[in-house]
Amino acid sequence: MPQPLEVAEYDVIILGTGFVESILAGALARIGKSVLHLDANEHYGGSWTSFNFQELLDWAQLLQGHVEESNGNSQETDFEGKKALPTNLSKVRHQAYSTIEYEIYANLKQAEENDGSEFGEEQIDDSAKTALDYDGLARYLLTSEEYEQSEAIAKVITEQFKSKILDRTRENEEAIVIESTRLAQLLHLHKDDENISEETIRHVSTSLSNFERIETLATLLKESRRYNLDLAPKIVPCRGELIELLISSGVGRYLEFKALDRTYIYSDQDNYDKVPCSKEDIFTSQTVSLVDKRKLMRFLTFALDYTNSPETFEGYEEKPYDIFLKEKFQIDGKLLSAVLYAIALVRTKVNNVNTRQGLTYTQRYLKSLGRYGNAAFLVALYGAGNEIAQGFCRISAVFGGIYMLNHSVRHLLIDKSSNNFTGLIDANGQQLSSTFLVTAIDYIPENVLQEHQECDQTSRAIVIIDQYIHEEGDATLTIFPPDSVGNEYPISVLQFSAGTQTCPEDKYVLYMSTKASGKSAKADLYNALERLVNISNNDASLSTCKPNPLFALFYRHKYRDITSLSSSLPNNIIVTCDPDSSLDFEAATIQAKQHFEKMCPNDEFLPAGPDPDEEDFNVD
Amino acid sequence: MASRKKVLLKVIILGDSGVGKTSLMNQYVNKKFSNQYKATIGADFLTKEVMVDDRLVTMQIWDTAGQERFQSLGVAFYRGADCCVLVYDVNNSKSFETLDSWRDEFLIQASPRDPENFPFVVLGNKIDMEESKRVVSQKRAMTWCQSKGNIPYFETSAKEAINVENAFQTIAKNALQQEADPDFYNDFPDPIKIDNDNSKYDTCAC
Repeated sequence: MPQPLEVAEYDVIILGTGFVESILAGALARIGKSVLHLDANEHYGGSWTSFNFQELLDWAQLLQGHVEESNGNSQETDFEGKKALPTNLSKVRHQAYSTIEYEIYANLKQAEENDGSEFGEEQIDDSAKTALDYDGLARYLLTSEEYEQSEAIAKVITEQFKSKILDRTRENEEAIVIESTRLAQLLHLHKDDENISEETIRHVSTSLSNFERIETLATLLKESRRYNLDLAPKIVPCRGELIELLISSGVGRYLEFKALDRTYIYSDQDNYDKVPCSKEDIFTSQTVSLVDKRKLMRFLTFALDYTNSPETFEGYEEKPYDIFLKEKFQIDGKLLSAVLYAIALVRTKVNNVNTRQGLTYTQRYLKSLGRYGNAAFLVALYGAGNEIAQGFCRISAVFGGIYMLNHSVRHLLIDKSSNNFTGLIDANGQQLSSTFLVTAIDYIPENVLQEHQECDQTSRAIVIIDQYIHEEGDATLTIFPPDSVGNEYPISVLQFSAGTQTCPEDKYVLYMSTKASGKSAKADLYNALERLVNISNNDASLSTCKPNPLFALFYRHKYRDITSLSSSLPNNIIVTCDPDSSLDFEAATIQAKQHFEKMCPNDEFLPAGPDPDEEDFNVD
Repeated sequence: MASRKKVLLKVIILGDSGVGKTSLMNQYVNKKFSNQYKATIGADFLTKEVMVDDRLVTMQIWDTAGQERFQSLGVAFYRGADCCVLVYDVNNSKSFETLDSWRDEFLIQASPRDPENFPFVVLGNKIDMEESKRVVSQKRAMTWCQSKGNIPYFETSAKEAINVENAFQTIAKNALQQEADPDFYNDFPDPIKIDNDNSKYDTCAC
């Protein structure tokens, strides 16, 4: 029986330990508010969290599964004269993600090596014979009426795999179960087909004979804890809202960073250009012509202090940024792409960005250079969102905030006459009350959330590869400008290495993202991924200089509108946003600050704490 | 060999609520003790410079900040620890029995490279209380420590400052040994810390 809380009344109850909620928890506890911070998950970070490999796979499988129908419990009830609105975290959280697909790849490198060796006659005979067996098994499983349930099919496949993979390590066993379940579900989908095509049989048969895939999966599971994979990966500009807050609040003391070494922009075929940012870069660049060097230098010098020469952009403020760059600085073609997508980091189509915004973005990038070496961005070690959120939670705890993970909420209580939030009923049935409620969208009762059809979505991919792209380094950013690989919006690809504690030493992780446009996350990102890694099994396209993938997960992530939601909720409920599509935390940091100022207009936002090493510091 | 870097050791203190983790830290670093128990507020980490085998090292001792009360210590707390101090109250047998799970939790969360040889130190605190109240004998505690790979054991009183200095000297020494082991991360440049501004680069890049 879990222990109830001694104190049942708080100034603020916070639900969810995502980035924005955690900053608020830290800021509110810091000024002496009593804070109770709950999260229904076992981990910190909410939808900003990072997972190890096993957790990521579990998460993907969970989201691919059926969404539980709410058991008629979504209706409001009455509790001591108050409206009691039930929460349904798992379902609401589910709704934020769509088009989830993952793929585990056979170890291509090994296949290559085997190709080089000479096959004896006997072996060829053997493998041809086995292939036939697998075709037979596939056909049998697809057509036999004995196997209607996917569990029954999975059992047969598991036995099949076990008879071939004799090494009984825990990881192998787990990998076999995962792969059998996946295949069984795939087979089950075709069960009701009138005519089962030869193609389907081939496909199933190939999967049944593909033990290398299980090998890959076992390797990943074995090193699972060495992975810190961000669901919403982001980087930190060296000058900006977040970094100043980390320094001033002291949270920065808990964190470690690596510099983002380089930015590349896709050019054509298999070519990428390094994006020159600093004077030094421009001088040494071999891809930029002398004329362009001069133009770029002139523009960057202006952009760094653009507010000092308003005459240069007068009349262009509201016009598209590219028009301004073309007309005032004769920047065009590749150079224009580089400025727009790799320096200003425009995430949408250029005609949606006016000159005023464009110059702000450009200046932010330029100002970030030079503070921590020649990098504009820092990468937080062990996954950004989760580590930073935990840092702010720690500050909150240091100032008295109470923390309960793995603690869910049953109902939110609303006073009928004032329509104010008064408290909640937690998983233990205990009533806890507070003046304010800060909550991630996921804890909002289902019947309050309207389906927002028109919300922004980001297509994302997490890809584990066996070699770096471009060159060795802790972290790089690669940009595919719009239309470069059939993409509507710019695609960003962050590559993190073991140096950032994202993965083990011999692996690299690619985080891809773009604004959603096509039918799925995979459709939006596949072409770009194909340029970077050997993704298709087609021998002809196999390139030795490209990395091989081991695992890829594609998913869409909604950015649910909180403005319209807030208007339908009591005034003392503050809803925090989902991770946005930008590459940084700037907008989310500003949002946290604005929420704080609304709640506590006369208090300072996360001032530095007292120095605990000071002689006069006292625990009392 | 490159010149020896300044050594910073991260030490974390684990154990049930109320066993005296914060008090031990405070006694060791600030030579202070408060009788009034208050679930930890305001304790973050304390630093102290110590001499270990003629080397000056900075020990950073991290408090749980109360997040252990409802099993809500995040993985970030455990990262990069060079030594883990397990504390129990000799007058409270439950706090002794949970040492096992604290040790397991540490090994899972911190995932040290060599879990077999990772330095733990166990402190049996509050030995200043009346002998009649004591429920965990020294023998029982030492047997447990032995069974877990000979963990050094100290009986302490944060209140009376008994054995505190001694215990932390061992903690520092063992943490340093862990740090001095061949470092696999040395291929990578050092991580960037942002707390003290690296203003030496403060020139404009353009």
